[in-house]
Amino acid sequence: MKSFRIAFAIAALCALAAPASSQELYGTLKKVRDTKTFTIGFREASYPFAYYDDQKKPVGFSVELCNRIADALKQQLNLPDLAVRYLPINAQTRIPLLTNGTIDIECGSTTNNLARQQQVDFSYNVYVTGGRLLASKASGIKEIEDLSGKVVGVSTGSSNERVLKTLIEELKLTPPRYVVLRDHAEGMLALETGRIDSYAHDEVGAYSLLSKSTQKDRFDVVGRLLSFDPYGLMIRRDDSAFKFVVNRTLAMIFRSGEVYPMFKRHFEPFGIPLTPPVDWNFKLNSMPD
Amino acid sequence: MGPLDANVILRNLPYLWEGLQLSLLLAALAITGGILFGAIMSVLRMSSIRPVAWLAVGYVNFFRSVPLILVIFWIYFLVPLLLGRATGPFLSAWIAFTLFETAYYCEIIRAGVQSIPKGQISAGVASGMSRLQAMRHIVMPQAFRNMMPILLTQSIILFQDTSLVYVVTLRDFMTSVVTVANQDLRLVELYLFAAVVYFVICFTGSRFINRLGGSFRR
Amino acid sequence: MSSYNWNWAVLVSQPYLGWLLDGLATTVMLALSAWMIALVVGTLIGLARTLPNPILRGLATAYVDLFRNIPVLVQMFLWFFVLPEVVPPEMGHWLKRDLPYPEFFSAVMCLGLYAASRVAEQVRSGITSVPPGLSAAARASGLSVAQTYRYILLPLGFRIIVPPLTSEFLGIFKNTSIALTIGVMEITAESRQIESYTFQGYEAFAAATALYLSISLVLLFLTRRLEARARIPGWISRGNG
Repeated sequence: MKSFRIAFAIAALCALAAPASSQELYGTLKKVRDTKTFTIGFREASYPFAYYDDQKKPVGFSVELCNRIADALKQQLNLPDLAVRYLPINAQTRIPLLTNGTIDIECGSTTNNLARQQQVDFSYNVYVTGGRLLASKASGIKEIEDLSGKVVGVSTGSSNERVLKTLIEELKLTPPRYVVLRDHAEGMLALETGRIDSYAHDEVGAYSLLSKSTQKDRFDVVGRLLSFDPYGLMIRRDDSAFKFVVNRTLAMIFRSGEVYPMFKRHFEPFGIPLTPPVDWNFKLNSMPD
Repeated sequence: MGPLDANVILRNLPYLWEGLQLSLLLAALAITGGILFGAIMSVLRMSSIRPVAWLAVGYVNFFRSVPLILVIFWIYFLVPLLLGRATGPFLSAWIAFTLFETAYYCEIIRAGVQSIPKGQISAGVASGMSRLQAMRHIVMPQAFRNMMPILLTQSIILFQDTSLVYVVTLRDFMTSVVTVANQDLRLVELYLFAAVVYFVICFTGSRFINRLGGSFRR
Repeated sequence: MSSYNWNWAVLVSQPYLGWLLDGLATTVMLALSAWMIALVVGTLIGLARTLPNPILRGLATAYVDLFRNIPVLVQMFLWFFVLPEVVPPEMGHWLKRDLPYPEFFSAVMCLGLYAASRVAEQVRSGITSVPPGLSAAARASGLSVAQTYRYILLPLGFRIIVPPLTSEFLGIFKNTSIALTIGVMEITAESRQIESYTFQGYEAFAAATALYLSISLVLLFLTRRLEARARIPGWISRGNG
């Protein structure tokens, strides 16, 4: 409770400080103030980060973080009636829609990598995981080496797709037949209907899909970690003032310990425990004032 | 996947209905925009000023040569950059469909106007009308009657084509269907339902046009 | 446009140039395969719609109504997602796994049978536009119904509908882009793929647009030549395509 009060005090201070800096607003902050809208791009099936609940409302860990950022903007820009819009995006549309200004922040499970940093910017990392394979038990797939001759689903535009194809080339394996899928829900569907033997995904996403499936016993998450994937919220490049609001909000949530109940609420239903690397990620990004 | 389950459709009916409303609205706006700009474009296309006519021909041939999906992608990603501010996906879709359909409506309207013998204008002018009056009172009513069935048929095709906004996740009927299908793992029911809904709307529409076509014929 | 870094060189660098060419090959293969189905099925259906037999005529009309009133995208999903689940499991498995390219197969069937409904309409109107006196004369001189179709109605009908048929081919060619929704890597899909690898989306779209335009121009040129050859001297050409 105490930490919450401190957070509130800081937020109040920032709100007081806001008018002084409003003259030199630029980038996303200026856009949000001028249009009085803040548009959050969200993924439709990136469990537990961003997905539709039963009422078809976007929910999830990243979505909640983004909602908190929207709250921070309301205070910072003194816009209590700021309209927060949600726009569904997928792995292929997320970057163009961010750079062309359709969305202001992307809330999903986007790997923060250097290739993407040439086009966009990222918040502090909000999660760390790595690529793994979700495979049907009947296929006998245990490792990436077993994929030859099998049918493997990849989500277009995902980093998992690229990692898998690069690794298969580096290991000089016979490439499997790839089936291109639009998002993770379609990936699970292809697995369940027997269209593919394995789906290339992140560990956390793979376990989440599995826990949602009605045929859990038929599939498993297999093999070693194929990559290191830190997740961040995507924002536009060269936009330090907005990035500061985003990161300050995250740091306050991490540092105050609020993140832990939040984590539990979003990840426990999918059976995902808090791992030490994820915990350390929260601690390392708990920047002091 | 188990036996068919009609409940999944009933349960999601309000959500799907919202999507259908968006599809119908998009189609209605695009038909309006397409016919309006198509009429303007057809006037340019028939212009006696050569460069103007060529530009119109270029426009029509360009949009008739590329797939609609590509136009949707282009507009979706490019328009906000060009305008320098965010446009919602709905506005982008409307612009894309209007640009695309203008080319098709233009050709239909042109064919309708040119189906009226030129002599009728001369006759109108000879009996004291201005060229514009002759167009307005003699050519247009007949041309409109001739092209009405084709205009409506094109509009039904347009309505079917609105399903393609699925590729940019604008929440139309088709996108809603796919969302429900993937979430509840009920593809067979949902996609058959989508087929039935589109069929009922479009078939009713085309029957209506057939009957209309009969009454339009002299 | 400040946040976008243009880089046209990406289009001619490997592997992206290769991807575009692969996409081009897939599009052309898809369009040609679908066109063959459309021509065969469409001719049969269109012919059936002109027959005296009311049952055959009714079935053919139902086919045309069904396929023309459901969006191609929905048909694509029916072929790809629904068909394998409603047939017996072994056949479903065959459709999903044993075919060398299941998504390509679905796309060909979808585009081909959809276009068939449009071709059927052209064939029917071609046949009905042959003056009735000709077929009456043929029957009077002892030709059977089949012979009348074989020697009089079909050859004349086809020559009349060459222009609309070629424009139907252009339609199939453009519709191939819808196959990207079920994972067929045709031109548009490849340009999207290049975008997600390089973030140079506009360059990739421009390349795709240029490819479609040049194919359309080639088709247009071929159409003109074909039309000139198919024209029946002394016959007023019709055609609404």
